[in-house]
Amino acid sequence: MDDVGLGAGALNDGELLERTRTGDREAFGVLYERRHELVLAFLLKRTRNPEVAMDLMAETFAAALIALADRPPAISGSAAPWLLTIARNTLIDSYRRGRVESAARQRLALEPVQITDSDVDRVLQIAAETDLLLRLADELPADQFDALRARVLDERGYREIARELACSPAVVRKRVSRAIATLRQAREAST
Amino acid sequence: MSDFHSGYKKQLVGAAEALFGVPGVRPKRRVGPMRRVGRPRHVPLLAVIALGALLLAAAALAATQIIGFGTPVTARRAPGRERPSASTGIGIPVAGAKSAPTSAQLLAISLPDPAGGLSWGMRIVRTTRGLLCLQIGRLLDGRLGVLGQDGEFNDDGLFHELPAAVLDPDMCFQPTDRVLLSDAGLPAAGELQSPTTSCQASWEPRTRPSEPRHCPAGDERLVAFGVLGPHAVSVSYRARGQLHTVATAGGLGAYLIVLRSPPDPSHNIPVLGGTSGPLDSFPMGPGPGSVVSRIVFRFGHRLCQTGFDRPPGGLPLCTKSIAHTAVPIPKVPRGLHTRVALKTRKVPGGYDLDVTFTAPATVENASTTYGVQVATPSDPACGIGGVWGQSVERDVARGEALRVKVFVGQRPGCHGVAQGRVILGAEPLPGAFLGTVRRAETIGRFSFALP
Repeated sequence: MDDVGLGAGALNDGELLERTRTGDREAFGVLYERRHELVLAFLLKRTRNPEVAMDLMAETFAAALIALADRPPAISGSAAPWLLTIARNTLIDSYRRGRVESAARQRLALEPVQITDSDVDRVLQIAAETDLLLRLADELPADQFDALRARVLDERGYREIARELACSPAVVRKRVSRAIATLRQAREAST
Repeated sequence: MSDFHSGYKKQLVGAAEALFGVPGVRPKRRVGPMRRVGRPRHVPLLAVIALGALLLAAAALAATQIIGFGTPVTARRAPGRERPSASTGIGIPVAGAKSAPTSAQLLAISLPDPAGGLSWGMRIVRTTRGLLCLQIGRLLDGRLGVLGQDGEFNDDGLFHELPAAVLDPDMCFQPTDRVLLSDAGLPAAGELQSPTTSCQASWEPRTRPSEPRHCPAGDERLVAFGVLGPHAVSVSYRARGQLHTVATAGGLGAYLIVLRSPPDPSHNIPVLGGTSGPLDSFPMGPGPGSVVSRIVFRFGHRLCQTGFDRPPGGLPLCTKSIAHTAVPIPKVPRGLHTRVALKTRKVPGGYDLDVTFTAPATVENASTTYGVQVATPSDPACGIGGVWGQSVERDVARGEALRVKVFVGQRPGCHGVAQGRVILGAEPLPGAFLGTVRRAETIGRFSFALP
């Protein structure tokens, strides 16, 4: 089995996902290292509970791995929208079921990992240092960023988003759809 | 990378290898159930419910199917307090955009009740007089309110919305203050303002049959809430011996904690209390008497902590060398002076004072306040540090004639000369003017004899 080793760090997210699918065992680890802080910051903002956010983050990456196997997303650059959409759906599923979703981890037979006080402190530090909007704005096309920010990060209605973006709700739906539709399908397929 | 992340990354890499196998070979099967593993930790079911504002609508949809809406909560007269208007008392909510009639901010806090049912929420309201007011209550359909139980609303079982305009003056503060409040024995109905109609907490003595009955033990809650400023990242508290940490919300460092009451025996908290102080005051509590046992702040890229429950070897203590923050204190003009006229009238237990003066400067909001303070004679018979006072809780025009009524108590055996002063103070707490000012300029003096 080839090991991408150091070279993986230079690949973009889409390339890492492709390498993962073709059997590069380290590629998904590189993606995890690169993206777990962003996902954690997003989930902590939503849950305000470091332990729950870590639990959801773990489930998010397990669900992403399953989605990659079941219905690979077409990602050519950043995987941030894809991961945040999975994180958001994991959050909603967890809420509906009254507990942190763990189906993906169960399917992958992942073992529990102990969370320590220093882990919790680190999560808080990550959240404090991670400016979600700034990071995403740097790596996404402007229209996709605006739509994703409004729909996934800010959680507002289409009508309100359209008013702010000065376009019709239909256009917003289309933009959002372009950004996350395939990702939602992937998530649905995984559960 | 922490132990958690490195451990979990290893597992993901292993799972990826199991899924995708040999390089170049695409998986031919869907991933199926493998081995069921136990939950890493038992995350409390209700803790999960404390998710984002996004999820409130779904919760409300379910809740509205079983709980109806009753009449909204109405404002209660606060004895001894100025009636609120745009320019008096605590003010009224600042008008918001068309889509939101007021500037009220319902925080993304949806905290489960220990016994289930509607979650608890919290709202911050900015008033026309520049104060921040806190409201807490139960949540339904994105609204904050009170349940018709525990004696509230004749136990009608309905949800009664708490409008943003119905503010409790005691829950309003200067925006430059941090505030930590707690109430042990608050009925689960969620009505913080007044116990006059609801049941009483078990610690409250019931001296007359006409007083409200004691709350059922299962309905008593320990509620702690406050705002700690934009630098606050999280608060921690202990429940059943376990340390819990929640991130603050709303950009103002707001937090809300709801536990069953009586609290954990390890707590030594006051039944009803709170502290406040300027945001730039470091080092700070909370001390052992607080529900909140630890607070983490962020200044730039540095995290620090404060409180009595700090893990050894953890974050550094928040001191002024780390906590670089400056709170703008309103300037109080210096060199002002006014002539004071005084009338006194003997009443049971002391004197009613009628103090009149002309305002030498404008007051445009609650950040500055005129007030009268009277110090009783320096005599043990008069009590130590006896200061009586009253503030002028309203905007004032320069040159306006002001009349302030102050009661000054006189203990038996207390004789001498009481010294009074008229002051213009910065950042007082709303209410009685009993020295709780960060800076005050004396603009007039008077004295009178206690025979």
